[in-house]
Amino acid sequence: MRKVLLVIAILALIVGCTRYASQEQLDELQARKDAVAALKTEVKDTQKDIADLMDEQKMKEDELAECKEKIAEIEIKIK
Amino acid sequence: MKRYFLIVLILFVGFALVAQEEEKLAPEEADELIAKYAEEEQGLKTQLDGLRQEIENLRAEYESTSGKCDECLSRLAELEKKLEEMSYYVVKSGDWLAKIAVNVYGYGNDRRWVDIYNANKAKIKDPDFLYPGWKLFIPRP
Repeated sequence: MRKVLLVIAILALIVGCTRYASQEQLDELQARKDAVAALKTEVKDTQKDIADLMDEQKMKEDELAECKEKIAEIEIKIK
Repeated sequence: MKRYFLIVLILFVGFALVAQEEEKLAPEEADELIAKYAEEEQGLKTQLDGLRQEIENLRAEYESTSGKCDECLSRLAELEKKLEEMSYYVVKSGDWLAKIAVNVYGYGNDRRWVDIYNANKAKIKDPDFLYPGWKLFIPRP
């Protein structure tokens, strides 16, 4: 029984002597984690916006090329 | 029996304590993680700035292309209108096909009266007879 009590006492001592991060540190860590998660989402959204804009740009360029082609055709007919 | 029970109890308490310890962070570990996340945050901010700049450039490029496209469409509409006007000829008194061909195609193109005739065969039964007021289609190359 004494041995058991001794073991329990040692374990309690180990646990008692272990230092843990303060609540302030944990709050800061959580805040950083949240900020990183928010930034990742923002980066992802911005990348999607860029992809959409590139598609729109491509469509506009195609429209412009088509328009120029039609103009060239008509100019040949008019001459 | 009592001894075994105690051993099991001790092991249980020991594992519970160890498990609890694993979930908690030491101050140094917390600082390390904070520094790691701060660095990652900085990197993401830089990346985001770059992406925002890229969006600005793309928007400017899009506006420019859009402006050119509008100009082009406007020019196309003008030309289509002009072509439409040039595509028809209203026969006047004293006109004949070769004369019309010279009028619409220019000097030296009198032989192209055949093109006008072929394009208006439904209306012109005899190429020597044209009636004033007829609206003839003028084919373009």
